[in-house]
Amino acid sequence: MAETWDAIVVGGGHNGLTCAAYLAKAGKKVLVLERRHVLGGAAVSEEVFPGFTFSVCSYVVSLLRPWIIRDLELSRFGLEMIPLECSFSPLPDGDSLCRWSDPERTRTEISRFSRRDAELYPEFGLAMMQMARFAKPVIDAPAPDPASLNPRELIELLKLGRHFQDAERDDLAVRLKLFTMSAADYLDEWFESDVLKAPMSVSGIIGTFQGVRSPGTAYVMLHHYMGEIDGAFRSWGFAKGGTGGVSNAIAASARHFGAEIRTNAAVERVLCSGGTARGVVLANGDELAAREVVSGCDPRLTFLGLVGREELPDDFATQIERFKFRGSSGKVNIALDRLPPFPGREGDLHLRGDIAVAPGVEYLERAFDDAKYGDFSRRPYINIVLPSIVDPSVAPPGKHVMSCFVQYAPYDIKEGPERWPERREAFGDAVCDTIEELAPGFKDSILHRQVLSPWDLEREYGLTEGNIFHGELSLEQLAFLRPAAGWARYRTPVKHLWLCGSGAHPGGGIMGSPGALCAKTMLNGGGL
Amino acid sequence: MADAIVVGGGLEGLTAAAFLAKAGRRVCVLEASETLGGVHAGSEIAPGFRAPGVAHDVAGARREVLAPLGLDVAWRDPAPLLVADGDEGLWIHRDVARTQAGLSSADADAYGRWRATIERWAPIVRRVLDERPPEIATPSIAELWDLARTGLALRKLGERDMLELMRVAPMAARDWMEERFESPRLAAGLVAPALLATTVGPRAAGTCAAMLLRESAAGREPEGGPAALVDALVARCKSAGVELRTGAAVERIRLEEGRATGVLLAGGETVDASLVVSALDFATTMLDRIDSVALPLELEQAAKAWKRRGAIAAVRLALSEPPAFAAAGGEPVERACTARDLVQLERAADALKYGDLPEDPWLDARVFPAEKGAVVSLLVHGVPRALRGGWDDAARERVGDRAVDAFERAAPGTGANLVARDVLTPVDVEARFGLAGGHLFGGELGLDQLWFQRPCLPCGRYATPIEGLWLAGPSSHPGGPYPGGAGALAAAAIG
Repeated sequence: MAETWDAIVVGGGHNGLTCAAYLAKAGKKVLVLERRHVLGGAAVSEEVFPGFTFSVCSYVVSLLRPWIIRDLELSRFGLEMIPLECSFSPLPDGDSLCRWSDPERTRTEISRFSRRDAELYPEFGLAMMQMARFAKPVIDAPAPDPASLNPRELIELLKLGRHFQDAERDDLAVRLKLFTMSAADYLDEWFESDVLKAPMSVSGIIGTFQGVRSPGTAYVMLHHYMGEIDGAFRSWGFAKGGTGGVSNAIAASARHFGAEIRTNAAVERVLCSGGTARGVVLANGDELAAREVVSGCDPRLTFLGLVGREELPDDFATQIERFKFRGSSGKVNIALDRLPPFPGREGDLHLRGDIAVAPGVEYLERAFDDAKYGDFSRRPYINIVLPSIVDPSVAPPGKHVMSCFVQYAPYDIKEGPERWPERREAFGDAVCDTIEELAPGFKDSILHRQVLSPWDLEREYGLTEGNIFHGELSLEQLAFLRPAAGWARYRTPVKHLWLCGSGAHPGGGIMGSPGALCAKTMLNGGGL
Repeated sequence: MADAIVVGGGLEGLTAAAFLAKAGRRVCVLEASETLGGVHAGSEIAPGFRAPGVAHDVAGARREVLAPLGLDVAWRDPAPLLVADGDEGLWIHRDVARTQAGLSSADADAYGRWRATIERWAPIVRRVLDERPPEIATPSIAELWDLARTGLALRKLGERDMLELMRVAPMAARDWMEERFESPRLAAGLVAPALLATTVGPRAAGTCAAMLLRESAAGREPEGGPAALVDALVARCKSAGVELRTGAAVERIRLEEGRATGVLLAGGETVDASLVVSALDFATTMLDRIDSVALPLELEQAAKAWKRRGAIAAVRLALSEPPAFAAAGGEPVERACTARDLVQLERAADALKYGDLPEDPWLDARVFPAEKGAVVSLLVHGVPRALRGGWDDAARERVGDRAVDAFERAAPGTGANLVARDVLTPVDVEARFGLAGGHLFGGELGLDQLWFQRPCLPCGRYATPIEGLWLAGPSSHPGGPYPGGAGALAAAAIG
């Protein structure tokens, strides 16, 4: 153990890199260790087939915090965002709904299904934006601690309560309901058209093991309105070169500030003695010492994998064991010879955003029912993007990459998760058949196909049970309970070990908040 | 002229009336049907077979809140619950040790710890159930203080326990049960009763809150069932001088300059009062009994959004002999649940979502003695108000058949003793009791319809934005499964 680092970050995902960049910027000697040959974790771009570069896992960016972009000067290090132009929902009868960044065009589109909904749609957006504004402070600060009797903490809590309450009574009522209702019920209070409600409701279920009728999903819809990339349409965007572009920019920033980053450097375990982390052991047997060890891995992998139950207080270990993952989604990445031919639409304008295969609320709910009883959805919800239209750098000329996020694909299929390799292609077929029904002729344009089940996501990307958010974003696993009661502020029961991944507050998505907030906590009174 | 009119002579209306009279007011109760007590009233389903109320379980009745009325009720511990749908089953007793005797050693351990947790939390939950919900929007200093006291009581549990309560409350019951128990039947028996007032299955977030309420509220029940409680309340109202009018259907709650001034009856008669207390459900009160032109927009929106999707059919069987449960080992059975596992509960809720009848329904059963044998009262969960294809006699009979089949599996030979049966679908519940959506408990008990949000923030403390109009029905906190609470707390709020 020759060298001693101020901090070693385990895992070069976007949160690990963000944490490292902040620490390096503060003058600390930081080392990032990534198991794979490429950085980014689940926010990664890879050339899966020659000439075709995919955002293999996470595929759009919305919540990346603007203050992180500023602090780490990410634009300078190559971050370039391309806003999504629209959201297109094809229907089985050949019709379709497209919501555009231009409100007037959207109004015209929606009014084909319901005039009333078309009038209410902008109002809904405003109401959600307003609520998103209220929720934002929550994702930009460490979790509140309701158990604390420290007056300063109580004042913070009170401030949050005030902030929550600082509204007309109607607004307050809506806010309260939003946290507890289902996405479908909530939308029912606003709209009548199923064609509109279905694609809107899915933003309440992405990455969860919930259906659009499950209570608690309305709140998740809010995340959709929280993003902010130059104020563009619903603020969702592609990163140039794929979502790996985000990770690469953060990595470049971290290196600029002096961090060292190693790939192909798998950490075998965290070196602990006497309840204190002292460094890491690599797969090749090397031991590296550090004052602080930071894990960007998920809570189960971190504590039960890298640390080991024997180093943990019993009560804490139990909480980690029961922390719910149960991944519910898969990914199908397709190399295309030409764009998919959705009937009734000319050109490719409608394909420059995301495509939501969500033709009805009942369709979505039945997709969930399949998963509840241990199977992938026969007719799943699919969120498709074709980034090669706006970013030609990711595919050969004239060809396209198609990224399909697919829900539901439960990790725990009834045959057992280890049987996923046998079910994988059937799952891919269900996805392609579903798209073929909406865009006849689509299957003939497929050049290559990569199918990732939740089991694959676990093996390849270290996402326990294939959960893309490092643990379910359900109420009982959020804020001061993420990942365990009393340990929501990036510290862990192991001294000098920190958690900076999506399994910490405020959770998953390409936000960067857990990484940045962890670093700030370490630097401000965290002893670094 | 009465000081106060109570619209609706169900259990909550009677409770509110009795308390208001006790406070010295002249009270008149107006009930549309010929019977007082609503879903808790006794009725004869066949000659010699009297059933004591459709909402057959009143172990959640707020006994301590009702205590000042000095009701003539004999309270007793509820009989043990038999969870069985065939030869195998288990008993859930009030007594922990007796329940543990029927469990595997791992489950016995886990059950003991689980009950201890519930017992630690119950005083706080009961306090919430038995107090007027807090003012959230614009609390005064005194109200803030009250809120702080509740917070402090929570904190007194200790940090670990308080955080655990906050973790569990919004969870799905299935997840909680999976953390704790290995027996599918035990999990089903504990979860099933809490689902009755919802449209969801055990995978839905918030079902733990419903369980916590139920487990904490469960206390003693009146000897003689719901009807006995109704009878006692009627007697108390009479002795306090309350005018009880049946066959008096309120058509409109009259408003003058935005203030409630009385009611208009179906026959054209008007009754004036300075206070109108509606013990009808929220949606019916706002959307059917108040002139829509005069109804404030926020109330109209809230009432339209009020979730009241009936999900239960009530099937009552008149039997010449008490049923013999295969799993009872000869013990008499008063309470039974045929839930087998959580998957069955989930599938019943699935059927609801699509407007289908459950293929394999589970039953919440009570057995009552009758003059000529026994009455079995069954609540069948998963029966949608909005049935695909609509309700007709054939659909009603199909519900009856499936319920009898399911019951026959638990108590073989029942069919041979069947004298008569009475099936109430959600449509029938709506028609007979005037409950919107046919929801037996005045609206769903989901997280978004509890406490100060029941039935909506502006009406969460029994007063309404309409001066002189108060709510005291099952749509108000604590809600239909906790009889007496809303009526008593509303009366206390009125003062």
